[in-house]
Amino acid sequence: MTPLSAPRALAGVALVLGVLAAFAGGPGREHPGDSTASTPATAAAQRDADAVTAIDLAQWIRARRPGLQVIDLRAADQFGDYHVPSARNAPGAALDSLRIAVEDTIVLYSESSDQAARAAKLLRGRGYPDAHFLHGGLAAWIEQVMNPILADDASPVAKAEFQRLAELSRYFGGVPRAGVAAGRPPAPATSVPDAVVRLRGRGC
Amino acid sequence: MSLPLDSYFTGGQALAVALAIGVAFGWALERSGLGSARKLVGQFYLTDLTVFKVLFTAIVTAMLGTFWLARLGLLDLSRVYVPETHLVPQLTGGLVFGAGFALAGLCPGTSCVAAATGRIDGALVAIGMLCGVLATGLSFTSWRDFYDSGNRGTWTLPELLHLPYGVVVAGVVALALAGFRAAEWVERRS
Repeated sequence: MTPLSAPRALAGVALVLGVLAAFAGGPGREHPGDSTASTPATAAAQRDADAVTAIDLAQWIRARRPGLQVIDLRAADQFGDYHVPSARNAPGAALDSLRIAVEDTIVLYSESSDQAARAAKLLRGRGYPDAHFLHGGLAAWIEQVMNPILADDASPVAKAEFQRLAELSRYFGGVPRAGVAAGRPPAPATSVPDAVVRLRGRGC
Repeated sequence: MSLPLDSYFTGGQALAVALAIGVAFGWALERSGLGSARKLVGQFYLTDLTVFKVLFTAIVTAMLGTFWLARLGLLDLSRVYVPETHLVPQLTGGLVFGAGFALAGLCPGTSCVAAATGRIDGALVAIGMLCGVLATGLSFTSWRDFYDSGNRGTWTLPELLHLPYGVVVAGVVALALAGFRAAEWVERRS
């Protein structure tokens, strides 16, 4: 009996691992600590079932939540300047041109909450039960995800929470800042063009 | 709990690890013979399918590795960055890349491998590649709208096919093994 060659042995190992993968389901596990951060914005959003926070949205995008559709309602040139990663553009809430399944999780956003909140209500009325809007709009995304800030007098709990947020922020190319002096107004938030420049640094 | 790699490697250490991985990648390409333009061009003429076999082997190895490491809880897959899909721009870029690859007989990575092993054609292709990168950067504002168009978000095969991850993994493995058999048949006939 001729001995098995290395390529054939490796092919056999790959075949076994591939077949086992078919029965293993998904590769991931629920990320511990994916629970919604406890902030005033979160509490407000939780009172409004249509709203999601920027942190929640960031976690959903990073976890590649199945069926997630992020829709940017701003004009095309604004979308081109910067948009939430994985978002699609529907200027003026022209949602009919987008292919959205009824069971999809839809998150709409604009510069602020108002237009997106109205669009989310409209979609729910049309039979899309999982339609939401980004609480605080794109401004909240830039502030909370791209530029999270930790005051230098923060509690240990807040510091631990900030570490988690900082990791999430860096995933999206954000710049978390720690050690901001308490009582001093934080530096102006990073502008949209700056956020675009940082995002363009990613990838190969 | 996933392996705390970011506590093992920080800042400069992570760059050193990246350098080591890059050197290992170049070594593997060279040992596979992919520093030779003749071997690479053989892929397009279907006389030598080494490129297909080496790269598809790498894809399957990485895919099985990341799937099972994540499944065993050693790797947090959500921390692996996946670029967004821009359909038409990326198809166009692929065509341009393919045309350049066929013309030069080398791609960006293998041109560096060839240059490192003393091949003049590799050095010239690498210089040409850098000139192309420079020209792209200088002219970027004029075609940036096209570059950003057709954004489909982060789009993976399981999402596209509406199949579980594991089933897609099994399918890709089966496709690869069938492809390797077919490649050997094509090479024997040529």
